[in-house]
Amino acid sequence: MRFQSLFLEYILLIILAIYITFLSYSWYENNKSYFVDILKKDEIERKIELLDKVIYNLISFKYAKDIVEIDVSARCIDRYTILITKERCESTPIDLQYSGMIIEVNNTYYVYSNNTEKYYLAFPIGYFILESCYEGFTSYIVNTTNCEIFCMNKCVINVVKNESELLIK
Amino acid sequence: MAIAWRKELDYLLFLLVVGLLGLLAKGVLDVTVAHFSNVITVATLVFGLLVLKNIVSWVDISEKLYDAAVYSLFIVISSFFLREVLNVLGISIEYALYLEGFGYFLAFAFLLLASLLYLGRKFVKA
Repeated sequence: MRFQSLFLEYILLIILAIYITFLSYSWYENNKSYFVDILKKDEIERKIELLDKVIYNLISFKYAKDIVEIDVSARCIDRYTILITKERCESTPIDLQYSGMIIEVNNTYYVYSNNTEKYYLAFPIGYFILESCYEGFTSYIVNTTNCEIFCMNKCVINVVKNESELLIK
Repeated sequence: MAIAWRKELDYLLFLLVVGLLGLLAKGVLDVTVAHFSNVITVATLVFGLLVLKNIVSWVDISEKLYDAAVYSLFIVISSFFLREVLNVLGISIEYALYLEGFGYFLAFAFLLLASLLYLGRKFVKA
């Protein structure tokens, strides 16, 4: 009986220690992008990760808003928000027999440009954001349900969650 | 040393009822139950720690550290509710996230220290 009790306490102690370690590590993995200002200032990629995390955290609320500042230009393409960096890149626009601003074909995403009337390849880099070489610049497309933003070079991005609407303004 | 299973069962039933209510209320009371699953997760951990508290014959400092770990988890639970409060006040919820991390870190550190001290003593005695 004594042996059983000892055995049980060791097992429980190990299980709980593993569980609490797992919870602490999960918290760090999920929220490390919030330390972006302290650890790696001015890194656009990190700020985009932060924006994705902010949206992820706001999405569970009925009404919520938060602000993220990023050194990019921003505008709307249809209901989506596109954040354009100054970094140039090479890409080959594609003609596709589909319609829609963002389409998914076999787990590959394509973003439509009204200027070139062609599609650009895009890759998901979070829950809500796609990265693409859009019209010759590295850009990030945010899957918003409404967009009201237009700014150049340095943007103060207001993320608003209102009922089922996700708005960037 | 003995476990008062009747008492523990009450807590377990409480967890089940709260979890079930959270599940049923999802989508209806969106704001208040948004982080319900997190609350249940941590409350379950507290339950495990309370059971262990009854089984293990904790002594002096290791017992105090163990208690501190349990109390730290209440910091975590309160941070889930703080998110809602900050959101209502229009303040960024990141401060609640920091508080949550702080709670986890304290609980992790205290539990590890308490366990090491406890096990160390056992092995020295043996």
